[in-house]
Amino acid sequence: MNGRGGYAWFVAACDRQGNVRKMLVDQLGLCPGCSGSLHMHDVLDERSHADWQRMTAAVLDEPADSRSSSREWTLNVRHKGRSMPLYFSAARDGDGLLVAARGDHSPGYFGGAARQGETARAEILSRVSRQLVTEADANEQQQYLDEVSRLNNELVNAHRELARRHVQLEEINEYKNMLLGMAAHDIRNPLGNIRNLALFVLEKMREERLDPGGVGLEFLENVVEQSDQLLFLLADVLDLSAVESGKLVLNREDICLNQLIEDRLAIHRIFAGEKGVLMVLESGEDRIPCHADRSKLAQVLDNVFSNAVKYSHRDGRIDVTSGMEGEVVWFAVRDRGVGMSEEDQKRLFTPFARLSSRPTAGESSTGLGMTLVKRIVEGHGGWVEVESAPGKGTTVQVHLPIRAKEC
Amino acid sequence: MTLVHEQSFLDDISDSTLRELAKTYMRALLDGDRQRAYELADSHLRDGGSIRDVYLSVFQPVQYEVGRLWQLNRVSIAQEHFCTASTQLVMARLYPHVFRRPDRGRTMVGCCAPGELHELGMRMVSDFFEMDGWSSHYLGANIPPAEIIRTVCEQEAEVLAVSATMLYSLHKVKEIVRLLRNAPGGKDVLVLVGGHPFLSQPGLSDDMGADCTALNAAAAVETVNVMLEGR
Repeated sequence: MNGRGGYAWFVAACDRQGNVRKMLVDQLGLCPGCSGSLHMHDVLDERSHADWQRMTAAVLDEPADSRSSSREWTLNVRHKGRSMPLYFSAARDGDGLLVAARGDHSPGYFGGAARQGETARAEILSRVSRQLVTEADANEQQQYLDEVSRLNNELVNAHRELARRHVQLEEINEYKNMLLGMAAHDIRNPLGNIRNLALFVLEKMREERLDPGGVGLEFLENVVEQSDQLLFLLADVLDLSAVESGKLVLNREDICLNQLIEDRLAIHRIFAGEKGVLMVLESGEDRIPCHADRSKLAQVLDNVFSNAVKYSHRDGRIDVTSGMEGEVVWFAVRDRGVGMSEEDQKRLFTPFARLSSRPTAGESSTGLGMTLVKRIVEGHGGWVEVESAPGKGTTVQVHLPIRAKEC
Repeated sequence: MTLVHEQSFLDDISDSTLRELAKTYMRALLDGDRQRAYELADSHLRDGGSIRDVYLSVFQPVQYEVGRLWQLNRVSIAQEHFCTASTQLVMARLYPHVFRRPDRGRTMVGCCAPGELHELGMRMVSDFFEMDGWSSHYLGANIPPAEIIRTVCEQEAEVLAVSATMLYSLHKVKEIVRLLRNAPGGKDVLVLVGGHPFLSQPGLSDDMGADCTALNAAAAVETVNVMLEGR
């Protein structure tokens, strides 16, 4: 026999000692044909007597004028020869107690749907105790709280799954970098041999004036040129896979940034000269000491300079400036070339991103240069800023908080 | 065994550092300061503390204690919900300490009985399996039983862990176990059950058709590992 909501109920009014004054509801049949004096210990399993005392003490020990109740204690009752767990609540009732218990009716247990049960509980309790009516009034609020809890659970579960997938993706990425690095390394050596042999044959043919006017020389020049391009790409891939695998090892030393800029600029002026592009260096400081990895910083300069040349128009001009501000040393490279759209700027540091801007003299690009620049600069604790507008040119500024005392 | 305590659950924490941490952590939650609660847990880990200790000696006893205070009408239901939600958030922020590369090559699926609100315990159990090098799939309480079984089969999980806190959830646990046993290969899956009713009712896990139960997340992983080694 169940309550209206699907729960079976037991509700009794007791004195302070636990003697039942009046059995109000006994849908559970805990006390069939009870007559005469009854103590709650007669209803409860012996193992739950101590918990019963604790539950009632929690109510009765409160000041008499306070509202006090205690709820959702799992106590075992004796039912048809078995020990059954029920949810007990108790509330002060004058100088005594009101005690309510419910169970569920799953196989072997009392039961009912949770929401319906809560309704039934509220109805019964509101009939027998004004004090517990307060709980019943709070029932609707509790249902909302429960729903919020369910939503929160779902969010946290989604969060957990994302964290798990994140770790998996990191592992896969690391594996990819390792494979990429191995493949690039294994391709680089034979490719270098092909390039050197082709160059050897090419030079021999030139010396001995073989194949004059034929296509053999042209083909061999192509082999060397394309091999060089592939070797550049492989070098960038290897660098990037090392950086992405967390293997960016910086051998820092005190160096002069403006000296390094001048050294690298000397090389790039040769390529710039072929396009009639002028590279002008201006620095507000005689010496810019910084603590950095010389070869990595040279790689950064090479990439930024070569980009400026590639995307400059013929007979254009590139300004290179440098300086110090507090602990930060910086350099900026400004070209007046083709510039970049906002879309291109967003993808500038993405590996292999294909930008709409193209080099002005058909120069090739690995698509990894600026990715490496960003990684290396960030590896030094610095940052890269880019300003660009289509048709007006691009300025790349590199800031490094690595000022040294002297150089 | 019963979870009803006369004294604070926090007094049962044997390690004094962790006991103090648990007390300040709970105080922060009851004051509504979840950021402070996170910082306390995070700072303990940054000082070399173990994530397992934080789970077992801070999160778990604090959850029990807040539940006890609610039973005694000393904190409101809203406060109890807030504390649980905040601890879930703290756990989520500590996931980088939990998720490591699985090296055991073993998989478990964790879930709660459908409709169950109390998910935190099973999430802790799933996280402990993860920390032990297992690959864990935690499904929560809103996945239908058939879907749970499908995940177990698809992931070729060796363990299905099911949690129930409320008595009315028990028949759902039984249903999940029954469905699993009838699924192809389901008889070989080790079923772990846990939650409040299993702590107070010895033998209940057998009634559910499960293989084992455990007192807490660490014991769950240990029990399962021992049982699998014995197979």
